[in-house]
Amino acid sequence: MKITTINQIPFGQLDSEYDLMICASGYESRAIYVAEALLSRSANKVNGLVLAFDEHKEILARPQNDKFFEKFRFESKICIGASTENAEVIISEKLHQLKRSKPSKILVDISSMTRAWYGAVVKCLTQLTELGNLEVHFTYTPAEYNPPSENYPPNRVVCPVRGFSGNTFPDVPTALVIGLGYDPDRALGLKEYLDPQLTFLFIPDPSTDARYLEKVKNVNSFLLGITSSEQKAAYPVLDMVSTFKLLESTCNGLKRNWRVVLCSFGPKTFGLCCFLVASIHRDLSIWRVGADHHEKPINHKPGGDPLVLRTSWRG
Amino acid sequence: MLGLSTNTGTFNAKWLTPKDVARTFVLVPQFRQLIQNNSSVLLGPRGCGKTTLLKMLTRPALDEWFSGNRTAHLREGFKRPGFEAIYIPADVRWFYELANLENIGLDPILTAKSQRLMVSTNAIANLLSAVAIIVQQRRDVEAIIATHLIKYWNLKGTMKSFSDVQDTLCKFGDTIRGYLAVSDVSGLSRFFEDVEPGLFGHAIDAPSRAIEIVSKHLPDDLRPTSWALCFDELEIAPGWLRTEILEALRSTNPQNIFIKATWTPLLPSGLRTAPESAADFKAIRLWHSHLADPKSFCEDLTREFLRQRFPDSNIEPAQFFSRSILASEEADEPIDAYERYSTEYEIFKSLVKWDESFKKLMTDRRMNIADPVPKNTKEKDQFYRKVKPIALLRHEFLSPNKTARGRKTVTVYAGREAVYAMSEGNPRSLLNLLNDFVSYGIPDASSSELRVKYATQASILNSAAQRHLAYIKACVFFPPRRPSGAPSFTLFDVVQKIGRYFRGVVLAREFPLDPSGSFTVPVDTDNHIIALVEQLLERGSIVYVGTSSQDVPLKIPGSRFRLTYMLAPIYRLPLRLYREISLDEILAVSGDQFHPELPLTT
Repeated sequence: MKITTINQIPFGQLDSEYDLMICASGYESRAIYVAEALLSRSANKVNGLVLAFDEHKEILARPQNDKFFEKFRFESKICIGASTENAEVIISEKLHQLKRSKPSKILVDISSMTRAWYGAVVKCLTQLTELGNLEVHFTYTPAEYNPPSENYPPNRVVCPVRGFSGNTFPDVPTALVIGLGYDPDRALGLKEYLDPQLTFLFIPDPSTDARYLEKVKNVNSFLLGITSSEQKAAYPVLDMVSTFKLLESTCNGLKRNWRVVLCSFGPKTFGLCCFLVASIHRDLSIWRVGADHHEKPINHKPGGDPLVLRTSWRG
Repeated sequence: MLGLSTNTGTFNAKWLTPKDVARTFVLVPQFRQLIQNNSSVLLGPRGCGKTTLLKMLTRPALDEWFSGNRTAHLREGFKRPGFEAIYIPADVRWFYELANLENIGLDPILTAKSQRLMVSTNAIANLLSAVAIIVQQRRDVEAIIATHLIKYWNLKGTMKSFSDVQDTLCKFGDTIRGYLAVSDVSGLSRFFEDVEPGLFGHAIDAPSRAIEIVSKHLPDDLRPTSWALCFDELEIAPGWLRTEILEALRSTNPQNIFIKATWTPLLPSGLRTAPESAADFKAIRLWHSHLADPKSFCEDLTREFLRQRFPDSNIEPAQFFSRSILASEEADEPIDAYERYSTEYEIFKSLVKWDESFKKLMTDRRMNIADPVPKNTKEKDQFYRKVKPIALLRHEFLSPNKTARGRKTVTVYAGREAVYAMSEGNPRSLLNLLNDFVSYGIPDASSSELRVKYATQASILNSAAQRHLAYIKACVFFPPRRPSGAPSFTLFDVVQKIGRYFRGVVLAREFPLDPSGSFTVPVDTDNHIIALVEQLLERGSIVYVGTSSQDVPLKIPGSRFRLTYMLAPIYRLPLRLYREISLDEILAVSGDQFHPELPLTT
């Protein structure tokens, strides 16, 4: 399937009935925020799938989240946080159970999902051939600001995200497009590793919290300093459509002379836009850099109204 | 492209055309070794010029280099290689994505076929670009060769031109990508049924066969006597590809095909045919252990750079930078160095007043502490010249009560010899520095005074050092676990420990006449430390010190290394090679024993 339209709607206008709801259960309080709000409005039984983290099963908000999804009879599937493959199998199976006779409507709450999981959702959507039309609402609940961990683990993993590997011939240079986040050294590490000819930085400005933006600028000051102003762009975190358009047009322009690699360290909304753009431009690659389970869990609590990106897909 | 500003990017030959590479090329002795009719491996850290040398082997680069009068003096006595070089590009992304096909849950045979087909087509497509230049627009020759290639590989629907053959080959890659994107395994299987099996073969098979076909159908006057397949970035290639190409270095390839490849500073080992004996290929080392080794290259490159940037000026590197007191050696010193009232003299005279250990050293050696002038050449060589770098650093960084000075502007790391030393003779590093000196160091490019002030040089060099350290910190690396109980380190930890240890040797102890400044990795070192040292070596953060300028390390344990001079301003180290100690001794020192009262950076 291919994405055909994209727009953003206020959380209050979100439908109450979906053919399928896909959520995640982890240690963050915000994991149930969207589902809780929706299910309080709906009288019908929900067809829900919850991807439950195989890691950190007993800490922070995890027990409460598990109870919530159990109460509303979500089908719970244990899934490894870093595994696209694992998530892909589960999501694909669920999507194939949808009725083919009518257009389906799906809600995917990415708030507590890992990049591997919401990447798997997008990948599964692109691989669906049986369903004629599909409407997918991606929701994201911004978190209250938490400063990054002091004991910051070093970069240990760098690789393309499964299913989003361009595999293009090395006859033209690489351009690296990075969505900056507030974890020190991640973005610089990838730039150093890939050694691209051109690096383009996306800065979350305005952000959901001024302290977050300040921290992003602070931890990336070296990288921002060595990057020319033409290769930096600010994107409004709360406006996902503008972010998508900005990213898509940037990639489209870069593709003429470069092989583009995308990587998001910032808010998940930017990460989602990367996957949606890569679903259109299949020669783009998405890479990830991380500490490989060595990051300290933080309970991200809801910090504002969820954002809703409404997307239409056609087979 | 020398003018590429480093505040927005870095100089990297990878993305320059061979012609552009040739325009800035400065001949190095290693290039003369590379053009020999043999298979060879270029060994060195990132940025040391491996790609530049491979690209310079190609016909467009050599034509460009030989066409200009400007570089005539640089190619004096140089003969073109006797082979036709085919440059086969690669980069981190290409190889990682290629290797990653093994992790997407595909059947192993389909994975291998996908990888091998892409590797073969990349090699043939680049070979045809080179052949297109050889045939010189002779369409009849092109059509004959293309016809035979199409027939041999059964490239249906392909026109009889090189570009069409290339398009068909490139479409193979697109097709694989298309099937993988939608996980259409059966579609991919069906597609492979129509691909000639020879394209799934050994990494050298397809390009060798293509060379055979091309050679057979080229007219005598155009036919090269031999060929060289030049594999860039082989050190980061997937394991199977590395193995096949390295083993091919000493296998019975067609006699007229040589292999030229790039590799890390560590000689490849552990292969079935053990190439470390180097009997069938030439290992060419591209780094420098000693300060003086790269000087001639750095001087030529800087001169060329200045000529391009300031064509109306005859500015020489020595004028542009002035001398470095810290790094200059005998050949660079003025006649009156160490004489009364010279800079050196003033430093010794000042230091001896408050550095008791220096005073004692001078007294013990029967030097005149009131008038520290060498009495003869022997004394100058064996004492004054020897103690100069440490004396200068102690004079610069220690106050009379031996605590660190405040954050003053430190200009000790400046001057021509310091710039060359910190670049390590690494062309990418030197060109980046030169760009920064021109961008930020010249107040007015039209000014007759083309000289960068010491303070500006020091500031730029210090920024470069900070940048190197930032990259080490950000480096993606996951070393093997240590035996239980032993502390684990990151790359940054190891660099910090080495740098701080030697800083302590220079600044925090008695004045050393024969200080330690390099280290040997013990033979019984565990895999965690070996992996860290190897990674730092590949990134140029540490440098192998051999017994000769062509000595290359076979393995990390038992080998001697030093910290890159690029980091000297961070740890306030001399730009000179000193005796070695064991790495164990350095790693055993805990954080609070590293004299934290000394500020780390300028």
